[in-house]
Amino acid sequence: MSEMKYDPSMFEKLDESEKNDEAIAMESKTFLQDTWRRFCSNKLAILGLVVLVIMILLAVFVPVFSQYTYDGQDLANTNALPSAAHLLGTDKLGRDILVRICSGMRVTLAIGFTSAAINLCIGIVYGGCAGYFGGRVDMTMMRIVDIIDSVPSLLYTIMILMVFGNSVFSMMLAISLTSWITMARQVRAQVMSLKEMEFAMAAKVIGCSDLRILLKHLVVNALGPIIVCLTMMIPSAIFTESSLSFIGIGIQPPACSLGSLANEARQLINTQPLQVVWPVITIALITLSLNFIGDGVGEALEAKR
Amino acid sequence: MGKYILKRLAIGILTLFILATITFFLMHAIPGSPFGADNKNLTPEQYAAMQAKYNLDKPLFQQYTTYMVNLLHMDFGESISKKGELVLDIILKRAPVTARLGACAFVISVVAGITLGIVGALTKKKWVNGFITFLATLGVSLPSFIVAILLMIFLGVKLKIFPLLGLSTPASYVLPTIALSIGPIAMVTRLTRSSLKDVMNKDYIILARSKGTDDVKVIIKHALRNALLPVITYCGPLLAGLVTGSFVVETLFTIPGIGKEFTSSVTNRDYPMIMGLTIFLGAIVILMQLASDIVAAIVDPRIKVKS
Repeated sequence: MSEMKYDPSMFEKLDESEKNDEAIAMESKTFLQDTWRRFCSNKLAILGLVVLVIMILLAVFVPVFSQYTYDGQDLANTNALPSAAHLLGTDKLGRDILVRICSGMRVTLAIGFTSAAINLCIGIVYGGCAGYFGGRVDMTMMRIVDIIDSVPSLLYTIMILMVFGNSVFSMMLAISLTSWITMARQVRAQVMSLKEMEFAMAAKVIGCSDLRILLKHLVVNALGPIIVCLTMMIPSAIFTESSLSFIGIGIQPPACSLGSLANEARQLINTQPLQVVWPVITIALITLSLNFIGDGVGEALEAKR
Repeated sequence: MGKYILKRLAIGILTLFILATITFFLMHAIPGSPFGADNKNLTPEQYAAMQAKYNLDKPLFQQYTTYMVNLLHMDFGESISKKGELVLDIILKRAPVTARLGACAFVISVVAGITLGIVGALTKKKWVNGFITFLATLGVSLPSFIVAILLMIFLGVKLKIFPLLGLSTPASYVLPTIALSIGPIAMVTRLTRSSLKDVMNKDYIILARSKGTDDVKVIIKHALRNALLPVITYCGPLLAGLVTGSFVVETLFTIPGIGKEFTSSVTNRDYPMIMGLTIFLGAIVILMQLASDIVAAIVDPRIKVKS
């Protein structure tokens, strides 16, 4: 077998542009981009997001630009059917239903988002402390949670609401004070498993304070499940708010929320069923789209795990 | 087992005690008094007499100890807004109404939920599964009063099949029962479907099928027994929630049950009534949770009750 002869003429220089042609690599994506891409592939979640954004825009802009106000009465034109002047008709005092629903949506959405945010804070602090310090602290804190959990939460929401009066603010407070339990449990479970990991130990060894380890290392790494829990909390806060206002315990007239609008309209259910349908459909759309978004976010975040 | 139950009961009683304490002080923090509404009709002397009659003129802590001592004798006191009626009597009169409705809703939720869950887990047809997912999402995300109102409009107002309010005839049970059970059906469906799907891929199911056991037997005897555990643990709180009543559905359909009684007692500042109802509801929730844990241990012997 003769030896192969090589000489320079057999080779030619590769063009610079073809240099990386065979590299198998994609542009690297951050965690957030990845999650967003997965979220976008979920059609229902996108639909939910679009509906929610439209709802928020309506809630913000309709009361600003409409010629009617939410409490402006027009006793000459009561219980009108939908028309060009009043797109959704008027109620028993001649108030424009579209404007009322949009203002109600403002209150309902504000309560939903704010109380979820307060919940998040309470849950992270409470669950974080219980999970991080463990032992007797954990046992006592979790016993307290068990006790609170064994009472129907609506019962307490009603009582706290009574203590602070029927304002939007006390509604937020009442809902957040009674519904942080799930969040606290979730954060505790995550922190308990994360604190055993090497990076937490490393942080401890270099002398980080407990607070810093908890907030900057543990909670940040538990953000996935926390966000999933948070997205489920917003619809459930809206759920509670509208149910309470609906039985006449929540927001009081002249202020209105979607629940109290449904409550006012239900007295006319036999003669004007359409008036009840509007607020009810709005609540249904909001809670449904929030749930779809929550499911989408959950799937997008959990695919990584 | 006996030791475990005793321990749980002891914890339960402690929980009830703390619950009663918190409720007592929270309730007295509510502004206004039980006699606020008809205050103008009362002379100052009458007002003082009324306050004295219900011990409201004493210091708060003394009221608390008196109440707690009376509670030990099962003495819940007298309702303030319904003059002369004992709280215990009112509760015993209202509870069966709510319990009957709750029991109907419970049976329907469990039966329908498990059936839908089984179909969802086993079907190969995509549209069937999609439909069940749709129903489950709808049920979980819609507040019960929305379902109730839509039902009222279509079946009550437009078609006039079912009466709208009250509980006078058997037909009037239909709408509140559906409204109460939509959410639970969706939850039970989700739980059954996801755990049954898990179980169906386990080795022992494949073994049973490869031996030639017929499908129905495999599902009922081998798969469901293991798949239903999460459903059973969910059933305790569910039954408690349904039997203690839904505040919203009872108010909407004007059903004279526990939930409606509670909301009206809070608005009337009827202190003894609020206390009595809270303790009653709390006790039921605790008992139901214990019951569902025991049933779970019986169904699945692998679960060791921790004592």
